[in-house]
Amino acid sequence: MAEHVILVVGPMGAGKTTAIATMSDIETVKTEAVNTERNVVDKATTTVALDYGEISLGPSEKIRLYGVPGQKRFDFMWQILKARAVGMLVLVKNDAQDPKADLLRFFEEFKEIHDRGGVVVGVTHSDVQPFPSTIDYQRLLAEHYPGAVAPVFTIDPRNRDQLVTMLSVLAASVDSRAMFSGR
Amino acid sequence: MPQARFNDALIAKGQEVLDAMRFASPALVQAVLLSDDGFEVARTPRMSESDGRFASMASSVQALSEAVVHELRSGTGDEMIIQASQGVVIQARVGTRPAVVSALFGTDESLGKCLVVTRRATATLEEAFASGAVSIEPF
Repeated sequence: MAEHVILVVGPMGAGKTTAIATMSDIETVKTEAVNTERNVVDKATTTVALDYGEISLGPSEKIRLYGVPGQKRFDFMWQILKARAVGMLVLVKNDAQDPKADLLRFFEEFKEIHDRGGVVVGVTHSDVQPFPSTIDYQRLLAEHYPGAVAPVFTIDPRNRDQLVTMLSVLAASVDSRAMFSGR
Repeated sequence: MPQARFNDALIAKGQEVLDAMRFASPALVQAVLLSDDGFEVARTPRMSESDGRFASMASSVQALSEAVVHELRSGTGDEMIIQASQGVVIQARVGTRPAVVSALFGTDESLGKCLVVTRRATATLEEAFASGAVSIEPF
């Protein structure tokens, strides 16, 4: 069975923990703590180490999902986790103060995963704030990373079908990259 | 530097308890009281440099250790011990509060003494929480 390690990255409050819990076939491992930064993002808890879940895409493909903490102060966890990932799902919170900057920041931080595997972008909270649009994000990435391949979707992290579709696109991208590189 | 997000009573009590740890064990290299989400509340020695990174790492390690205990269905994770070649890190939750004490001791102290000193610190802090003298609610 082919197994891939996929990271779910993005700023605090983008829906990473929810997305992994929605996708996972197993009970997820969570490391949530009481959030004392309610002035920054108004949510009760925040991930301080990782989230972990698993999902099978068909009988021969299994995805191990790792969610990273969204805050920069936990970047030592980013270093640990990105070393083992072949794909990445970037979640962007569309009603954040500057979601475009968030996307560029996380794309740059984890760019090595794009270079060796694949990336997809999921835009959350677009029901609250419809802009930037998916096309805006595609243009942004094309402008800053010419040649980068990173499909952009609007998603609800509670919607399993949407997430699985996005994950399947990512897995196909990783598989084709591996095939062409002979891995 | 202690974070301004915590109230003065908690910072003062935390400082007092950590300083008492140093008095109880000269082998204590540093100790930090931190919130569950990785912010430093107080530290000893007070003048030592801190960018908050140790508190962030300590909160991640605490959460991972408790996740392991949960996964193995082994009750609750009371203390975590990291034995290094040049010291030992003892980490313990303050009762059931979203606060943790993490302490580095040098090699010239027995593990038992390190544990006792750390347990006394968390017990004293828990008493302060239980009496209502301190709280860790975010602003």
